[in-house]
Amino acid sequence: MSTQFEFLGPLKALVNGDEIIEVDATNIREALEKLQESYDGLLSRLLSDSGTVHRHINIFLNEEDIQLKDNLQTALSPGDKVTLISAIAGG
Amino acid sequence: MSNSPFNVDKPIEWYNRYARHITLDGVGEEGQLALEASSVLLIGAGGLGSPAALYLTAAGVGRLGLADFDTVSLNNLQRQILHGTSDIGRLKVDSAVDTLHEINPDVNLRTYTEKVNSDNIWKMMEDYDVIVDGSDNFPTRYLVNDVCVQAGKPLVFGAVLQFFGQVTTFTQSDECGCYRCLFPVAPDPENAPTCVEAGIFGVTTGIIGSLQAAQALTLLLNRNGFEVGKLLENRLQIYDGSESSFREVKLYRNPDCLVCGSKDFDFRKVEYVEQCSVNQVLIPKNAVAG
Repeated sequence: MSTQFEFLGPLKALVNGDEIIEVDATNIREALEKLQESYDGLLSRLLSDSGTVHRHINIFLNEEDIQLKDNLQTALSPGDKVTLISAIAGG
Repeated sequence: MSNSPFNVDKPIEWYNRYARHITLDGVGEEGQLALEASSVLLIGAGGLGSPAALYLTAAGVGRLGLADFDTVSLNNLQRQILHGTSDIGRLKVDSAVDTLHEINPDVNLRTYTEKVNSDNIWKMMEDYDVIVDGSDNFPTRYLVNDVCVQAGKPLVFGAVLQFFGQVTTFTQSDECGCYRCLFPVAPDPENAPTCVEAGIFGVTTGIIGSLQAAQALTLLLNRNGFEVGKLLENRLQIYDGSESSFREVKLYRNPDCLVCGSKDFDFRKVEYVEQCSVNQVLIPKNAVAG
């Protein structure tokens, strides 16, 4: 069983509107690098030049912020669900 | 009121208007009175502000402040349900007052037509129990968050874009994070499409704005001893209309947050800059002392 990734809101456009994406990877960085192979430009929109997650984006593993874990090195297990959200301001 | 079936000295119309609240376990007459003694400041009388204001007014919040400098445009009417076609060109707060007064004339409505900024926001919000953010740009959102943290004022946050919405409540308790714990800075302009640029499915504002009203009412009742529900404290609720789904993620208080994590933070030292149709929020390095 692989890990499920979902990109919500404006980030969904980065994965061509795909709702749930299955990825086999040992940690979140590796998963994003694999996704980059299918979705060109993904990493540059998510990560800064220094390789950290942009501060207007948050990544959650099973609803928990990965900043409370090992950030992009956070280990993934089969069946995990990773959710990515971005700040939005519309009202 | 001898021989009266009622417990508080209110006219029968009051009992009738709020009958469905009064019947609710946990609310009752005293809970309704607590709402009547409460106040909410709504930042923005647009897409989110419309449903929030309608429900807060209908619910009988005692005092409702409406802050919006803008006028009603035809392209607002697809979602900003406080306003009608004949209101085009009027100040939104004036249009809102007419609509809200018709729904519940007992609510004390106050309007603020100046643009919310660092100079006026403290005085504007200090007399209110809860702030509901229905603004439409990052500088205002960060300003409202930062001031609420500094003032210890509960903030009900909501935001929308396209088919997507977010809502949470920053209670300002010692355990609760703030908006900057979640998103320390705003996106760069190229990563921050506005509703003007990206569009908004109108009813999304209705869903999120209604949730904001529910949070505000729950908070007001809870804090007055009427435990009617659990707040979205340290929980971000996410609505995705493209899938008709709700999700939730856990938030936390970041001890390194520049705002709620710093005793020396002062919003007056921060630049909240708006550029053209996109927005940036700057935190100068010297904004946070120590």
